[in-house]
Amino acid sequence: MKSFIKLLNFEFNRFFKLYVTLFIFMFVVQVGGIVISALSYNRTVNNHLAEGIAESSVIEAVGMFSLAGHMYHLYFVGPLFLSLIGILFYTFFIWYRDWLGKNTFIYRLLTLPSSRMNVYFSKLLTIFLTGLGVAAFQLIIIFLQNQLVHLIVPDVFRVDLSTVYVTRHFSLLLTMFPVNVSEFISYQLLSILFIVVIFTAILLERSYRLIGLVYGVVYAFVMFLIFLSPTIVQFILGYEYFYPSELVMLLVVTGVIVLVSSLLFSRYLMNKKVTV
Amino acid sequence: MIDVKHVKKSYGRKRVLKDISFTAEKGEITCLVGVNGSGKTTILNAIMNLTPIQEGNILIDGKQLTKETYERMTYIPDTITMLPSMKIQDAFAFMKEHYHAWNEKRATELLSFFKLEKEEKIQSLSKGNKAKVNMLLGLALDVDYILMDEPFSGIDIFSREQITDVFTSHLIADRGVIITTHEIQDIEHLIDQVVLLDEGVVVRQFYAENVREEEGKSIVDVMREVYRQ
Repeated sequence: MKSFIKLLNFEFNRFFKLYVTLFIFMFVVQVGGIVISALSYNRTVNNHLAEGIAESSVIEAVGMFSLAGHMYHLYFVGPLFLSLIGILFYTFFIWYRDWLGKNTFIYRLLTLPSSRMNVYFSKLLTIFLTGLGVAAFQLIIIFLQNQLVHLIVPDVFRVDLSTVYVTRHFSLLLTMFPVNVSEFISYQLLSILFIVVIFTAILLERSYRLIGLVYGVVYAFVMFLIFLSPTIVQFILGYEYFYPSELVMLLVVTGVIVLVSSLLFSRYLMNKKVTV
Repeated sequence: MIDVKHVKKSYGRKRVLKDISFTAEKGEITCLVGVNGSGKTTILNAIMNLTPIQEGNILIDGKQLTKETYERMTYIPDTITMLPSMKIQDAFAFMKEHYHAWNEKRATELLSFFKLEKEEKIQSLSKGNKAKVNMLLGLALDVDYILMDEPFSGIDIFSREQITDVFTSHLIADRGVIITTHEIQDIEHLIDQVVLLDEGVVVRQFYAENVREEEGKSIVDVMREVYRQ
């Protein structure tokens, strides 16, 4: 356990600079974007008011300023997607950087006097925690954006929305911040499942190289099919064969099968097959 | 004792190790000699469980390798096994955190022996100095066995001399060493046992001293006989 914590800390520190860069980028673009939008809105409103148009008519003409209306702007969606894509890229890079180029750090990692699965789980948890971190940071930014809109746009011209309301207004955010705990846990478990399958595919490639790449892709596809098999069966039958609760239960069962078998397979590859 | 028994290994259709057997004793320096592609590095990787073997068995003091074995046996590959972005002191800290066998006193001693500075970044070191740091990280572990892959490859004559000096020092004494090298001349006088490899098989295994005394031949003489046949 001690070795795992040390490795987790080590892995996280290796990602730290890139992670902070991502955060700065998200902050600057998203916060900057909302400030510019709010100031531009104010300017338009002021221009109208200067022309002697009544407030109600201005609102009718340009609408009220609402944070929810800005969730689909490129300055909001762009950095969020870029961060998520960055983490997806890092899911692969976290392994390959130890092998590729002049880097032979994998020799060290595989010859540490602790379980090789500590290396695996430290990488897994690093990816998972960074994903959670992005979600948490996004929440903080939305809160900040809300405060800034309050400061910039006068009361009469803005729709006040809570941070929670904003997150529920945007489908991607709704996936990141589900409405109830069970949904939140299921999404987190799903993301772990996804990382574990990707890691197993990477280890297949690292064990069998070129042919391993084919094995890896096939493995990931088969695991995807197994996990979704209850939904696929339902789709093939063409009618709602399972009750919704049954479908959820079956997805939990297939999810557990995929997770446990992938972890066991990864352990086998790490201990017996992986090659430097 | 490191006991390699009938080890076979292929990369795809290419058979790299056809049937390799030899033993390396503690307190002796065993040198694996062979031309490029004869399987020397693969043998070291296999001993460290860094590449799987298809057949055969490798025992360390009569037991299969476990995670605990890495506290008793270390590997110095031909490239450095620390992150290039680390300073030497960061590498020391990493080793201290992860290995009970890490001997900080010996590490510091080696640092001055190799005339290196703790604050230096690994990526800014010359090839020779990187090789020295790599060797230092292995030698500063209190282990019974050290595996070294081509420690003299591509480094200048002065660095080579410094590394050669290590073999005659207390840093190596009583340990079992398996070394692969092309530059046999540099360490010929230090080697106890020689394992000559060719195309994935052991073509001859002998003690250098026996051959010197009984046949009046040097290791290079025996190599000439074997490889020129």
